[in-house]
Amino acid sequence: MACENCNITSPEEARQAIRTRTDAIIERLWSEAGEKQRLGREYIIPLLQSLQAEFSYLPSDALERVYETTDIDRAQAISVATFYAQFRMIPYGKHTIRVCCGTACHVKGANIVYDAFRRELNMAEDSITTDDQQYSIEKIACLGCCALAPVVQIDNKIFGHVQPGRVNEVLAEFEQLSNDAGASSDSDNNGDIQGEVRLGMENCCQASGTAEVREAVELACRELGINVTIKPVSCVGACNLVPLIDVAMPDGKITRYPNIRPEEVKEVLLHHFRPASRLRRLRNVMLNRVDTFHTDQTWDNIVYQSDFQRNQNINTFLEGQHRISTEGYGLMNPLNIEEYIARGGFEGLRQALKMNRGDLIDEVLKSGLRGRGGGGFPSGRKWKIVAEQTDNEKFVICNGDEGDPGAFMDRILLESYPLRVIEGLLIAAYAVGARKAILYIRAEYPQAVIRVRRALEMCRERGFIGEHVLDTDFSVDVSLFEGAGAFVCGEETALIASIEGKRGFPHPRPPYPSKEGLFGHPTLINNVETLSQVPFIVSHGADIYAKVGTEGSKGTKVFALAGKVRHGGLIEVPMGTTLRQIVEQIGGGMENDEKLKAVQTGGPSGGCIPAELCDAPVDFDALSEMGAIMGSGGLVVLGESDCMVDVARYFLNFISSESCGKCTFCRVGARRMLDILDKLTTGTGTMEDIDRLEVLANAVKKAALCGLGRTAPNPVLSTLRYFRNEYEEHVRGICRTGSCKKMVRLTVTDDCIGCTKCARCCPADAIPFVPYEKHTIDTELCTLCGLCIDECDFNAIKYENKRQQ
Amino acid sequence: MRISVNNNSIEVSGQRPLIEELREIGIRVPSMCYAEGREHRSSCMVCMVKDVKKGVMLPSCSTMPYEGMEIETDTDEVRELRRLSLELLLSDHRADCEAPCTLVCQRGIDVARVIRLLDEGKPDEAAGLLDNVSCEGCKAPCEKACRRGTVDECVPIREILQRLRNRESVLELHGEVSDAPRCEGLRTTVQRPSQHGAFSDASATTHPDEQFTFNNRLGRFTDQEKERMKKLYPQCLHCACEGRDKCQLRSLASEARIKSSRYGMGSTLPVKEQIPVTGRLVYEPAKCIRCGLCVYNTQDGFTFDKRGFDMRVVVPEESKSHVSEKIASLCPTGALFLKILMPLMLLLTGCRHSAEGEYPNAELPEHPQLMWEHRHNVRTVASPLAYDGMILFCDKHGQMKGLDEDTGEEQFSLSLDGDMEASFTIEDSTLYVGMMDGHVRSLSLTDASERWNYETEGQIAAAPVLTTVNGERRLFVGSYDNYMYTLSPQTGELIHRVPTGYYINGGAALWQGYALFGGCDAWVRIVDGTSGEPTDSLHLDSYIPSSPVVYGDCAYVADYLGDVYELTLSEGHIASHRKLLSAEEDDGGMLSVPIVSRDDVYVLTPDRRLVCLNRKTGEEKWHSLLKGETGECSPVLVDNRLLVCTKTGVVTIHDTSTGQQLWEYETGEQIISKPIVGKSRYYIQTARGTLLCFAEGK
Repeated sequence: MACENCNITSPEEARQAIRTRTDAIIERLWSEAGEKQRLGREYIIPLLQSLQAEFSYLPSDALERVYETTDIDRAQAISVATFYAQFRMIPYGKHTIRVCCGTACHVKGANIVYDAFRRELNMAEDSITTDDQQYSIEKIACLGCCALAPVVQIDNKIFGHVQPGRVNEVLAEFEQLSNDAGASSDSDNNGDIQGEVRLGMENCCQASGTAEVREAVELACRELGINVTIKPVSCVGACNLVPLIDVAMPDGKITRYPNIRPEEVKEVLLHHFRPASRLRRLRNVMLNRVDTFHTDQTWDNIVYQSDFQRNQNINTFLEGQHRISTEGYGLMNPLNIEEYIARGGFEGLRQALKMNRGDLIDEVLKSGLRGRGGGGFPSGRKWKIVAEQTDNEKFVICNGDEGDPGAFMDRILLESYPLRVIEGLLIAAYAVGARKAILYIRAEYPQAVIRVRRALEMCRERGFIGEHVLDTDFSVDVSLFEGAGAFVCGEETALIASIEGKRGFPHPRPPYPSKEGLFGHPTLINNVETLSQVPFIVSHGADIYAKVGTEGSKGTKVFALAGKVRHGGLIEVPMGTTLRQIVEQIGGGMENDEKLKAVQTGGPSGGCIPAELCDAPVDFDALSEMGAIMGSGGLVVLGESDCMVDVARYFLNFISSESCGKCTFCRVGARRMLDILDKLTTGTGTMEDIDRLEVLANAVKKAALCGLGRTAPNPVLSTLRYFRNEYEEHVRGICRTGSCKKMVRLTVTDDCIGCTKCARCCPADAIPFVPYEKHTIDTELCTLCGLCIDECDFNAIKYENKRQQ
Repeated sequence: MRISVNNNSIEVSGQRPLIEELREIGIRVPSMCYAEGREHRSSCMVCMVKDVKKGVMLPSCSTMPYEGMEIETDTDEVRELRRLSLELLLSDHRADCEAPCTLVCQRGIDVARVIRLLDEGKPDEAAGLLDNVSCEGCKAPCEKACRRGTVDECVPIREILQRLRNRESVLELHGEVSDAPRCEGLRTTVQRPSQHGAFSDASATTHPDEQFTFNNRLGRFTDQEKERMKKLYPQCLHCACEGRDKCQLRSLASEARIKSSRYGMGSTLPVKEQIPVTGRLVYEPAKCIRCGLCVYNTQDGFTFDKRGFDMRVVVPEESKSHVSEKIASLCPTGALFLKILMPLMLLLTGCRHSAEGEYPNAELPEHPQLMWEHRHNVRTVASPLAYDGMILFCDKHGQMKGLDEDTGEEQFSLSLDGDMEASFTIEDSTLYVGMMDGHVRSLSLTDASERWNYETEGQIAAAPVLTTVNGERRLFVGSYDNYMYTLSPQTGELIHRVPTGYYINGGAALWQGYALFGGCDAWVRIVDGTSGEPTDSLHLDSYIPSSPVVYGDCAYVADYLGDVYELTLSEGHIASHRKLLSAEEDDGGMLSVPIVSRDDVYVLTPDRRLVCLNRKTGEEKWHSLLKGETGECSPVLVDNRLLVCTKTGVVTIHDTSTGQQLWEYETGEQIISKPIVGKSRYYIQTARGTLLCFAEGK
């Protein structure tokens, strides 16, 4: 195939070009690694990532060249390239559509969105690429933008709240955007700064249109001649209220505008700032008149009415939160190291370096900090074990491989507070005596990777990383490792295997990584959030930290709140806050006034906590008593319209595709559980199936090899425990929510007036166009996409169980 | 250190995994993914024990004991989990432990084995198994149970057994049944004879008191699978697992008295897909339990593909040469096993002899130097040919190219639109070629048009051979449908065909209007080119994958084991025969053709030797140890020089009188096809499609 960028036509030339480009990449990595010999096997993942970045897939000619010129052999390359989801062996279309299938997106209809895209693009049944090679489509475990569910990413652009009926608009918008790309903004900042406009620029904010708002702000400033600083800031957490801007005046007064639209920006700015010249003011008034006249939109109601109404939601959202990991939310520029230092940043590191190591570890022990990655192991004890090892070479790894669908805490922490995470990592490295630290960040978070990389550079320039940190004896080197897409690599032994350039196979512990870890050396692995709590503990003292939280679980916990809740987002609350408080107060109650049914915590390793238990305070121990786990902190709120069997099936499906495949119980066991759940959700299950499911789930819980495998049956066991009646209903052929598509059909009730709205929107032409008559649905053609339910103004289309009749 | 096992305190070294310590004190711990002293990672979880203090289940194969450890090995909890892990493994495992015909026979005949021995050419042994048991009055449940019956028609077992009792010879049997397709059941893959019965002394791990034997079932075939079976097997499907004697999954399931798994039985992988690896080593993925022993214990050989439930063990084509046959004994199931006769797919990677092998005007350069190279990078196994100032080669997917013999520049291209591995023949600007789909085709090289096309029922592995019989041109071509065909090269019309007992992998050799060829049923046959009637045949010790060579009135044939025979021919009959060379080992692997000169015979043996034999006395004159494995590629004799290409890619030139190596070149790529020798230059083609031209260095 001819190469696009150059005029190569013959296959031989194309092959030679690939080899030359491959050589350049190998050469680059080789010189970066400072290796004397050929590039070693442990560089395989970065190498494959670079190759894929270069060619957009892994061409066989490039791989052949790798075998020839490095120590990586064919068996290893196949083993690694097929294990990690990031790598692909076939070229994709020009653009890649990634449909997020995280928990929050799943309960909001990600599968329907996926089908809608395929339909819109006329994709053949077994193909993932359109005939014209323009688009490829894939499902992705989780993009971590759960509050905007369902979410779709096209290339680097994220689209939130995608409706199945509107995918054509999404595609049109994307094409518009890619055509417009390149329009640059040149701001001429001279003269007095009149104030500051702050915008969150995280992945999810951008998904909801903050980028467009930013452009509008820039444009408006130029037009009006207003001189303000436009400052990208860390995440506020109120993901459902974005795009959100803060206007900060020199006197310190801040006005917050949630859910702002680009066309409102100008008026907002005019409300706060005076345009530069009279002429501009005049011109502006004129333009506004014309605009109003032409577009029939009035600006006036925006600023004057909304102060209380608009901010009420966000104020209740932010109330009751307690900031440690996310301190500085919505204020700080994530990559402004001066600002971070001015706000007390690196104070923890400074103090830590003055302390002796033992005292430092005691301080962490005293704080009661427990690992935020899932297990809740006391962090101080882990530090102590690593510190006690006599090996000269030790490693500290920050685990940022947040793979749980429905969780995005680590992403936000890394994108918004990279310096805090790095500070925590440095303190940990000092405490255990490690000279090498690694930040492991999953590949699905490109923004986090970019920011952390930049933050590391700044720390190096400032002397926080390198030889003799802050003129002490402590020297440390920090590198960044990009994960390649495997949920199991969140497990620490699997994570180590992946850094070593192997498949992410966990191994049984002991030996624990704290004794024999990376390349056989003692290794401390802490989660992103754990490390982000450390600077506070050191700079404020363990006693102050320990005042927050409950007896067994100290400090705060960051949660990703999503699902059927009114205001989803990233929240940080003290340990011991109840789930009900989180849902009712912070989340603003249930969406569409549904009744709360359960809260799913901890992703695929966690469980569903029924509404009646939601008054229990959230901490490590309480959650495991209820059959769930804290996990990394995803909270997906489920309402009466969610089917618990379907939720269990969703997680088992996730586990069975993400299982590493090493041990029987997880590889085959999870699949067999999924088989049974498939039977149940298609209405072909029996009562015996439920018993077989329970037997198997209990066995996998006991006998799987690693922590992830052993917690994999939790979604099944917890739903069986609290919602067994729903399982039994499915055996009888009833799915009360209509989630299990194979068991239901759509029917039209007598409320129908024959308005034809449903007939017009039906993508499968299953509703004949007969005005003024009660509509009918051809169940053979119907794909149960549910568009007609949304479209109908008379609530006349309902799910009905097939077997009831 | 001291640990407690089932409440008994014992002293252990602490240096070995728990499983070793437990086995030493006589506690039976079943396991599959563990092999003492070999690389392993816990996977099967059958060796579970309970750590009472920590309250967790642990795989004892990778757990080191610690001081004060308390272990339980014999509780219901442990037993139930072990049993469940077996059931889960069985739910993803598809094979017949025993063939249904054997299982249902009420008179205790091991029917499957009888047929297998017959196919190995051992009718006496096969008859011995019948042990004077009569089928008289039996309603033949074997034929009703026969899986072939679910595909199309069952194997006529009773008829075959009856013929065997009457001691009708195999040749007659094959000849007689040739018109009756029902009896083609005899012409099937042949399995390794088992060392002992499958039930009695199956494995040392079987508990002596237990009588129960677990039998896995292949189950029903889908329509697609039926079609595949028809293609793969002429008749008998050879259902029984060839690795059952060493299968630990079976012996443990028997011990656990599992009748069937609660979680279903089957596999999503292709049924009975048998992938040849190296030598006699064959890999059947549907039986694999993904323990990874073969992955961890080969270097750049087996590897894992994908993850989770879809994870499977694969062996890339290019890595097959890094694998040793010995790995089969490490596999805890029948997924890796050794075959005596090659299955169909392996034969297809075997030799592809071109009839053209004589280079009258050729001479080898004194100081060869690489003149040009051309990299095609697609697997290419057919031998190239020199034609019209070009070097013609054809890759596995039927893409044919012509390179300028002086510069290596591409001058010609032709797509055959189909997979092909056999070498091709050219005469009068006409190409004759056999394809993988069984078609024999003739194309004009001037306008690329197809002249004719003849369809056989099996793959074609060797080049068609052109000759003149009674003034008429004839094309001889053997097929995997067990027939040797004679076609008219002008029209593609069938003139006659000769049935044999098994696949025909090699090509034909011609002697005075007779055609000679070897078959995978271990028979050499002679056929009258005029009448198409077989005139004589000879049974060798092993099957014959390569073509015979005729020199004067003598024919030379090598079988797979590495024995070389000399047959003296007279009026279409074999007047006498003798064994020129006996194989040193039984491992086999001889795929190349012996090369014959007036005084000498040159042979590449499976044990990497180039041997020169005196043609008259049969005595060895000299031998030379080669640097790489020998394979399909035969030596080329030019004057007093021998050009030898090894499978591992080393090219050498030897002196014919002493065997002394004169020159060496390492290509770094596998070589399967025969080189071309021209005037003062020669061309080597590797299996990756690289063509190298060597000429006289200045």
